[in-house]
Amino acid sequence: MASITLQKLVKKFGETVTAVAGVDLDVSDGEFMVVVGPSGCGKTTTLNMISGFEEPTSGTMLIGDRVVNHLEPGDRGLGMVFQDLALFPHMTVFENIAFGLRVDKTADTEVKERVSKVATTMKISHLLTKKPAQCSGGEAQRVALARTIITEPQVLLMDEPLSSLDAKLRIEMRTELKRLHEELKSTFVYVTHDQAEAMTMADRIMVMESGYVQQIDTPLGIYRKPTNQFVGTFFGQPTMNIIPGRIENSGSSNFVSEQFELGIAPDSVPGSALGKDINLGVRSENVTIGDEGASGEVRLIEPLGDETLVFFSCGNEDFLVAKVDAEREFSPGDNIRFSFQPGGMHFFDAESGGRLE
Amino acid sequence: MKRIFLATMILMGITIFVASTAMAAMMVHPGKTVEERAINGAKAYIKKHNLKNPTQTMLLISLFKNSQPKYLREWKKLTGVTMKTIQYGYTDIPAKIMAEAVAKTGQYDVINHFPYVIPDAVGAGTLQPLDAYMAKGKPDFTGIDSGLLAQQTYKGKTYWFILDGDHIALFLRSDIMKAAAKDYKAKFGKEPGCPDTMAEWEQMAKYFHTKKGETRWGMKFDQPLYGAQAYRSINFSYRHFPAYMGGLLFDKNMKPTINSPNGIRAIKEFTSIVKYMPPDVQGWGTPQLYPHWGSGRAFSFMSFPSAMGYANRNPKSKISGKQLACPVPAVKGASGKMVRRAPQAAGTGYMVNSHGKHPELAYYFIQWFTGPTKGDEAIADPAGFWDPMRASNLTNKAVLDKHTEPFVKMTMKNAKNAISLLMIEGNYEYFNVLDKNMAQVMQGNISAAQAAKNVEKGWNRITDDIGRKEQIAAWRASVASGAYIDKFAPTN
Amino acid sequence: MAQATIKERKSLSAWLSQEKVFRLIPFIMVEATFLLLLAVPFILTIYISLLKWRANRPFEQAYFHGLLNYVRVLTTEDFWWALGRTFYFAGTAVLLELLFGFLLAMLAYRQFRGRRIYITIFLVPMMVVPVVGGYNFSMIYIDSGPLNQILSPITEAMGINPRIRWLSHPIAAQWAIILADVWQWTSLTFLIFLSGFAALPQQLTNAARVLGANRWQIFWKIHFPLLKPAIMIAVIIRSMEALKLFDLSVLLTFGGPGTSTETIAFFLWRQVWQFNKYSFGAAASILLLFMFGALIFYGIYLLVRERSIVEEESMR
Repeated sequence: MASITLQKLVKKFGETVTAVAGVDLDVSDGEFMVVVGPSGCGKTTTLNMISGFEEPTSGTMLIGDRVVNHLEPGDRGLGMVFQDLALFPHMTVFENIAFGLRVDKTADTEVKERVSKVATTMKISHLLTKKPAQCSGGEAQRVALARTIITEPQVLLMDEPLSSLDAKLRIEMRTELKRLHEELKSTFVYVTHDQAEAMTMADRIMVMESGYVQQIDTPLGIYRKPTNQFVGTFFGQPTMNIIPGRIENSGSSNFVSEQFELGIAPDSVPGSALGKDINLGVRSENVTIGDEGASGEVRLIEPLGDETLVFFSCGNEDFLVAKVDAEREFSPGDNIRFSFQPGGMHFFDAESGGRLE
Repeated sequence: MKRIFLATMILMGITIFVASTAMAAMMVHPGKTVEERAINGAKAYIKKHNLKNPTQTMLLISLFKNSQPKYLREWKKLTGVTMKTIQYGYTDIPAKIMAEAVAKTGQYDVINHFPYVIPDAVGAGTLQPLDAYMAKGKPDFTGIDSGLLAQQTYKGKTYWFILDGDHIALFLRSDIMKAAAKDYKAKFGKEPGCPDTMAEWEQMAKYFHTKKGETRWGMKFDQPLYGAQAYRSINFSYRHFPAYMGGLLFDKNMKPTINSPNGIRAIKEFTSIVKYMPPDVQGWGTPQLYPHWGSGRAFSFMSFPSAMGYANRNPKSKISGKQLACPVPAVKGASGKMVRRAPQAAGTGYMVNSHGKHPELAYYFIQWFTGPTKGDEAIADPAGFWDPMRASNLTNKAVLDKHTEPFVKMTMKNAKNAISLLMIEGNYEYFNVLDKNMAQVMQGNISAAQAAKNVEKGWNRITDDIGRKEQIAAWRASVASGAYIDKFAPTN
Repeated sequence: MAQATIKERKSLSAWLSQEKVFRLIPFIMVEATFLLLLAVPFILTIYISLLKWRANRPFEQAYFHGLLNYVRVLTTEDFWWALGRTFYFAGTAVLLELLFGFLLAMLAYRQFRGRRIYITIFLVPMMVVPVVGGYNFSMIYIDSGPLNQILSPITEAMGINPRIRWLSHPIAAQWAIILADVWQWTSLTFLIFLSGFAALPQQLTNAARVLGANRWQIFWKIHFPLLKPAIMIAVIIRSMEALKLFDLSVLLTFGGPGTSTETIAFFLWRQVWQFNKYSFGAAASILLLFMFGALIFYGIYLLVRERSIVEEESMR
């Protein structure tokens, strides 16, 4: 059993800086949990507390059913892959991989056997005699993984391990890590600031901002039902359109913003959103360009190949964006009409940013 | 005819005599005394060269910084010559002289140092021969013993005027000898007193050597009493070793004589008494030895003669008035006879820089200052470190007041045996080879015989390096001058 | 002809105005200064080393002597003794300085209250003028002086005469000099190691911790190998200085007692300034230059090798 339980975990640096302001999290055995957020949100500090490099100011951490608050990192039964990989520059790849076994004084023959086995799994058998400096980025990545998994940790922590790779390699490695997770069946906690990485790899995602947990849910759950404006805008490419305004209910519902008025289906509007200042969030794929709705002017076209992003203005210089079929052709200056799909609208409280339902 | 011829000859003889006397009188500066002639010489020189406010500089051993200025002021009053000083420790001055040889700055006019810098300095051309000036100034060296006087000359010319009878002497604790007289006589058949031989000195050192806490001769020793103390460190051993050698250090072909039964005996005697000395003695120079002697923790001290005055006058001294001054004891020297040799261990004197602007003017200062009147005044100066050396000191009340009569008597007797240290080029290097090997013997690293071999080898190497021919000539000249008293054995 | 001259001149100016030549001009100036400053005295020293010249003879009498001076130096026993002694002093002192500097740096590189004050205090000895330091030590080492008083409870307990003769016992004097050097220069190794420790990547430590290494294993398997470049730098810098040890041996013991503290620098000084053997001294210093040079270059070679491993990693 290698679940991870965090209870009211707090980390303060000095008197004034609160890096993590009370995290509650249950990661179940074998789960791939991704912690995501912008830099400085507290995700790395959280990870460091799980790994044992930082001591929590308050709160409890359990791995399995063991409280690990005061255990040395090496005694927590976990493995970790670091952002800069942290391979030991003065050792060969072999010795790097073997390090976890060596410090346990494992017999030489067993070390050789296990290193060669894990090297085969990671496809790095040809590198064993080299120094880390002589490996390519992708190779070094595999070495770092091999070094971590050789001790068969029940929990694997990863701190933005792919950030130093180029885009193509990064996408390859995502698949690789997914495969590894399925093979090892151990619990993964993966920290990243890249929402796309989180979406593609995670079983569940924890979104953090300013030390607070914003939402914990499956990738689709987060995408479809962001708990607040921050989560809504953090996920998805291009960024969700946010339009400040009000819902007027005079017979039929109307969304009224400074720039335009748009009739919307009343049953898609939550009651709590009525009559107050809100921010309307609409993802680009939920914006329809057609014959009805408010009018706007096309300003910019971004073809993606299979689809096209259409940036248009409406009343002022804040662009809205719609994702349309690549076959439909637009050009800057075209006058268009647009509307929002009933299921694709998110209503956020203008003051708190919270989701209105 | 015969008579006329005789009369003519007599007349001519008288004429020549009168003329030559008159010419000589014209050449010699007027004045009845050495000092007057020096003053008049300086005045005449200034007038002749039309000097305004003449200023000269003296390279001075810093030990004399308090006592020398008084005489410089007086010289200025008498002649108008300002004499400034540049002071260095005596170990630094030889290098300054050598630097002057290369740089030829003329920034010093008078150089104050020990005689054994002369050979190297003359070789390098830094010292002015004084003979021509002496003809005009007529200095007077009567009453100075030949061993001391010989140091003034090198290869037949005079370069240095002595003002310090700095030949080593032996001091004993009269108070302890008095207390122990009965016991000592019972044991050795004579009362303790100045030892006749080095062996006797060592025997006394052994007898009087007393551990801390013992009670002897009715005296309780809260501190240890070391049987002896003497100079046994690098840079000092060579100043004492010739007293043990009792003969020349080389034969007439510059072959070292140390690797011989006599040399080995000398090394053994020189080093064996060390066991009765303070354990630190190998690291000690004057700043350590003098206070140790003054503190009363040693029975005997072979030293520069100023040690006695120091221990009598220093307010911290515990042995004031408790010292007996003795001449250097004898050894059975190379000749097989018992000889006493008192090396001039340092000996302050004055030289003239040949690169100076007015060497002759500088000369008059040293003639004046080292002369019989002024020189004796300096020797009597309570602030000075000039030691008695002239027969007149025996009757000079001021000198006797400062140095005490028994001491002056002893040192003048001792001066009969005074000898120079080695007066040849490269002498520092010869000294160092000797010192190093003595240190090795005293530390128990090598035997006396081995040391004798090492010294012989080292000295030959230096002689070859400098040039055997030149060294032989210089050595023979210095032996001939009487600087070491001993002469070459006829068999050589 | 005239035409040819003009053409030549033209090509000269053209050649000079080429970009690649122009870029060399500052370099040439730097090189020239370098040569003037270093090469001239160096060549002069070689020249003197080939002469027979003692300062007690005028330079005009010096004559060419071939390599005899070198032969003389190499066959002088004292030269080898002094050299051996110097290596003994330098080796022992540098070893102790490395050890103490390392331990102090290990203690000081973590954050704790008053860290800055401690670091400043540790650096003070290095800032003391060597002559002043030597003078102070000559007081400290007096028989009845402070050091022996401090040590007396230990020495008495061990049955040793508490009056250790620091400056006059042949072996104690050697240690007196070594310890004074250690006192003065541990600051430097401390400083080097402090920056070495500060530059250790924290992630490597963390990686080792997570893999289960204890403090001792982290130190020996991770920190120590990574500090090798810093250690090499400290060894080279200190050895270069320590091999020139002179002030302490002059100020504390003047080479004594006997010759037990005569270092090679002191030997050279004596040969030149006391014995006036200028050309002998020149030959000895050229020989020493090559001996020490070879040593230092070997050290630098080792350093570069260690360094490249670490640097390649950090460049990736």
